[in-house]
Amino acid sequence: MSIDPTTSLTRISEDPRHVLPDGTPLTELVSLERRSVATRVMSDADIYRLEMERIFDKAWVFVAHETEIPEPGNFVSRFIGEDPVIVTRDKDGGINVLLNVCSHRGSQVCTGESGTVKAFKCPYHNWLYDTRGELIGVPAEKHAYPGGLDRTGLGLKRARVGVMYGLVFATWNENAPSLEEHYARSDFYYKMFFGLLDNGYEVTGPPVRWVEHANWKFPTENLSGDGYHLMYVHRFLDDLNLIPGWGNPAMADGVTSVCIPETGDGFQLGNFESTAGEFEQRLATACALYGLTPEQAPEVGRNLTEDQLKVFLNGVSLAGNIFPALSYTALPWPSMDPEAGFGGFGFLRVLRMTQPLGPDKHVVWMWPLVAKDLPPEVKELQRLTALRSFSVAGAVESDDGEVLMRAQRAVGGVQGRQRTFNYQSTRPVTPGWPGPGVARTSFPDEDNQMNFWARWLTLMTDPKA
Amino acid sequence: MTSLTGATPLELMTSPLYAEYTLWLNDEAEQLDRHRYSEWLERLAPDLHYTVPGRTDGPDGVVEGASHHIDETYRSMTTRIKRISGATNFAETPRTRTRRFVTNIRLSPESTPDRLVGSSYLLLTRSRGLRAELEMVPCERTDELVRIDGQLKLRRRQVLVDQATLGLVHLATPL
Repeated sequence: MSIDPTTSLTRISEDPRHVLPDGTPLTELVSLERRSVATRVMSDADIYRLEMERIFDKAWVFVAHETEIPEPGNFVSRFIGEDPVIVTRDKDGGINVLLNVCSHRGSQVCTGESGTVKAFKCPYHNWLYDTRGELIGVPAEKHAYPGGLDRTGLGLKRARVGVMYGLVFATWNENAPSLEEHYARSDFYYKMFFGLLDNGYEVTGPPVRWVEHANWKFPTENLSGDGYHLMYVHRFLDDLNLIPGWGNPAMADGVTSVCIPETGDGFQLGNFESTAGEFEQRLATACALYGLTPEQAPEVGRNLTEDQLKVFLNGVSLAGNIFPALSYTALPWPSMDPEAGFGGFGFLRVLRMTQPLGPDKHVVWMWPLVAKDLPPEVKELQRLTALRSFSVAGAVESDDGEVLMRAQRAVGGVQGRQRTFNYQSTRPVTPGWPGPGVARTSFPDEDNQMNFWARWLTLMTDPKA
Repeated sequence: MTSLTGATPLELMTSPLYAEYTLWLNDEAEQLDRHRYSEWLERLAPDLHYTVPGRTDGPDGVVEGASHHIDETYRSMTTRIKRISGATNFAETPRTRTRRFVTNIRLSPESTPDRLVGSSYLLLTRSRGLRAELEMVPCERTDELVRIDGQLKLRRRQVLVDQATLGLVHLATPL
């Protein structure tokens, strides 16, 4: 479904009541009181155009992992919403995110997906930009511009860049708080998820990509906290005895859902009870359940605060979403090879970026992520476990893709668009949870998803958000 | 059979081993299109390595193999087949209607009767449910087959799909 260029966005954006062309106020799309969301948000072209403007153009959006561009001159081509960008490492080691649109006549300057360059040469008239986006060359300048060319403002448009534990984010929004400020409350968790180790994590290679037929919000709100579907969509784990007992609702009680209201982020932490014993033993077990070796336990113990350790020892196997569209998982998981790994179990750590492609499609970008200090054979097992579960052919992802595609089709018709998604499942807040945000024990609850929608509604309707 | 080393392309194509490879590939395609997945496992050698590398464009051309869509051993492939042959799954319930068009079959002159090296083009079409859309998966496959107890078994397969971003919602079956 292509975007209708005749949609009157001016009318929507200038209308202080934020009303859709059919008269529906945006504020009616999400009801925090009734815990429901209008299904039309998943197929409406006008809503999609507003999301590109009010969410992807305003938020901090994930674009790359820093280990994809380790050396000066490295670049990867990515997207912020529908805008193509180039993510570069300049000669001083800084990371830049540049709009991939030539300042001359709008051509796509960089057509490669990745590589190493000294400069970017636009194919159309060969204007030349350095890795910071500065215009450094205009061919035949004296002939083309005999009066001289003022190069002010003719560089590639630069986004603001922030790096959080290896994750590179960018925003066009000059008024947004810094990345550090934005994630101040989440930092307690993201340090554990992405910044646990001195030498950090690395991607195992370039991303793999495929197109799923569902609105970008289907997978992202799911990964924010839909533990409920695990028992049913992924029942094969019990059928094949890969994780015996999978599907028993009691397994939900071992998980905590945490959401961060300020950012719209949500995730679910597995409570694998570390064995009883001394602190060192519990820490070593928790590390093993988190894809690390027991040798890394002292480093982990050093890098976490007392409160963070309480959470870590409680279990941080997890899945989550960083609003709007960077999801991640980190789970001890069957490697699908019943005789490999420790009793057939590997570990997977995956970054899953959702790139919107119109109201009814998205591109999935998937990277396995491994701790740099792991032995090569452990990294390889984790890479294989990740892609056997979460690639286009992955045992987990393939069923999610099918289910979400069916949901997209179901809510696309006239009647389907007039229904609601219902999130009445809720649990009480966990008292005494040692971390920030709102924590609830057990996972079929839909509180994390409501937190996603609350943030969505705020960005869609509050011009100062 | 004499060695094929130094054979011309025409000699390769008219050799009995080429005919055997073609029949093997055609039978395999029919087997998979008829969803006889557990039988298909019998075509695999115990030291199978089956890969579908990711492809991107680097500055000097296509980059392949730095990432993967699929990377399976015999044992992990067995789990894949079990999942779509009776375990709860949504990707292949109901079954995808597929057709595997196998063409451009080549036999490498390094082949011997006991170790066959060859390649083929595959066009896999997929259609699910009532939808009129067809997913198309054009690829080039490179194979190594070994003869075990008289039967040719697949030991290595690499499938290069002709897309950097796959136009597939999911791919739970072998290609």
